[in-house]
Amino acid sequence: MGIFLEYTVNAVQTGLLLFIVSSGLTLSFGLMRVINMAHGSFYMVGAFLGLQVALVTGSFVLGLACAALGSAATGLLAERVLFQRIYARGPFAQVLVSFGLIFVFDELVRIVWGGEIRSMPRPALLTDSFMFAGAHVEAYRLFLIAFGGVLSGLLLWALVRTPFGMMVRAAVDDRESAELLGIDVRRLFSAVFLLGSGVAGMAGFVAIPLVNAFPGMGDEVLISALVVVVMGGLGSVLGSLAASMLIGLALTLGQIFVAGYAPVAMYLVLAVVLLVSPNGLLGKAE
Amino acid sequence: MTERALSSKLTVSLLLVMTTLLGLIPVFAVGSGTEFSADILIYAIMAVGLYVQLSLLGLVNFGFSAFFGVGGYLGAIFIMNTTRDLFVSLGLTMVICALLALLFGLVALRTRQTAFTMITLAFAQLLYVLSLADDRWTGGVNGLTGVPRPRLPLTLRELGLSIDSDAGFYYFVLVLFLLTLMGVWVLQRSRMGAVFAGIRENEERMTVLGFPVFAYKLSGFVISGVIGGYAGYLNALLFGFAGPGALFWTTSGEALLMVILGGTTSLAGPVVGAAVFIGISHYAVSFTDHWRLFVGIAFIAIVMFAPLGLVSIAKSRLMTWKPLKTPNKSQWAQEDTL
Repeated sequence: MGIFLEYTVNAVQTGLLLFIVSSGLTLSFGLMRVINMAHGSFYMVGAFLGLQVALVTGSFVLGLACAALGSAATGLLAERVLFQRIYARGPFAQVLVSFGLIFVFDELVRIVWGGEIRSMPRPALLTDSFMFAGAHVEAYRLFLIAFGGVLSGLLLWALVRTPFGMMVRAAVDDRESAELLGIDVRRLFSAVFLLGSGVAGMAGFVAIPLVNAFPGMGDEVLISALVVVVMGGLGSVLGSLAASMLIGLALTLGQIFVAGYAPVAMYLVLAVVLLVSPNGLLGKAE
Repeated sequence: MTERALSSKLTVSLLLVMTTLLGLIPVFAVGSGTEFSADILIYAIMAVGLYVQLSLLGLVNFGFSAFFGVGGYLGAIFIMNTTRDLFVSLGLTMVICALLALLFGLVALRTRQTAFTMITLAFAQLLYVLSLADDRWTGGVNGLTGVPRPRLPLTLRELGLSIDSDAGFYYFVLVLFLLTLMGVWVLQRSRMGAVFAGIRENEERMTVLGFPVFAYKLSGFVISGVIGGYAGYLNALLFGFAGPGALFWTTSGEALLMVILGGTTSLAGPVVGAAVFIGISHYAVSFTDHWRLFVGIAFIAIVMFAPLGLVSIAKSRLMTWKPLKTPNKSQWAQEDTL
């Protein structure tokens, strides 16, 4: 029973972290059909900026704030300088430019911080682990669940309840009609891009105590995030939430039963979902 | 002279010049020049393989590293464990890559567009993860090192031929490269190539016209996979190494980059793209540790300023002296010349 609780905690934590990383990708794809391969780079930039600030100031919270602001600013800059110019050029140009950006960001991080793997201790309040109902539960994982849960809740609330969210949903559903109704989809997209990269940066920062920070850390996360986006259905936020939880579960189960082969589980789940439903869990037909 | 006739004359003479120059490289190359040229040709073969899917069929495969990586591993495994014979190990590698592509295609081709792109990516990543986790066949993280060069059949060896030297290996790669180019050139001019173009432009129409669209797509997928497979085989022989890096998704990204960089509308595109990509990487390495930064900036600049790829710039400058056309959605529809 205890071991079951432990695995549930791990699965939920993995799933929520994956969801907040991929939310920006889901929305930017849903809105503008933009395939941003550099999304993982914002995750990495956030992690390194936050780590630097946290090490200098000794404050986890300040680090988190700087991770969010820094990666959001980086995302906005990339969107304004590069992506704005190539929307009309279709997926090829986007894939190429964002692939080039990965090279640039990976190398910039290597220039500024060096190529080593860097770790960060868990914040003092969250270093403990305790026994609960026979399970060994780590405080930091519980924090991640709370953090991911609150952030996901805010995101969903903003999408469903605020005028901003309504405009985003309208534009995802039918961009042309939304534009005819006077919604400035480009500005909306800039805002979504800014939010998405900021959230990804925060996810990168809070993940450091679990997976460390290193140049290229975004390249692996990017693939998981893309898997989530596709499995959930392009542009569907609820779909990517469901997909994230499913992958969290698959990865955790994989670790239990076939340790070295755990990541295989993620791709198998994706293949099965796409074969049963080519548009993903909650996606519409294109 | 019509533009088309001028274009094919230009193409033929360019091809002859290119082949002659390529043949002379080992004679004049200094240092590791021959090895470097072989490297370019191997990546050009890979890019041409991807071109079959991407340009002829319009399939954006983001898992092409699967064939390149598996080809490398298979070559290494066969040569180290089964046979030192060049053509036997190469043939076995190609057959297994064909079977792999068949299986992979049967699943992936049921999906379309973005789902296809992502399922191919997932498939290649699956193999990457497997290659890392396994240490009996693939050597895990370290890969397989010290792969010896295979031997030519006895009759060829008696003629004094060998692929042990840099020049010998280079000529072997060059022959495969030219055969690949010719094969794909014939393919795109053939009836099958015409059906491919039809599927690329409008799949529904071809289905309604009664073409077995799925079978055609699967054939193209397998042809492309086999080409990717022997490119990987050659790559493993070049430095005697097969590792998981070739299977990682960035290899697929680089392959796409090469084709799109050079241009997707003609067979010269992937070749030029591979040469420019490997060239830029190679020379940037020699003057800075941070070469990736310059490579990244160079790619972004090329995409921003040369939307249809490098070949289209060269062509439009050579042929018409007109300013570049702005690209449109139906860039596929452009007539291909080479």
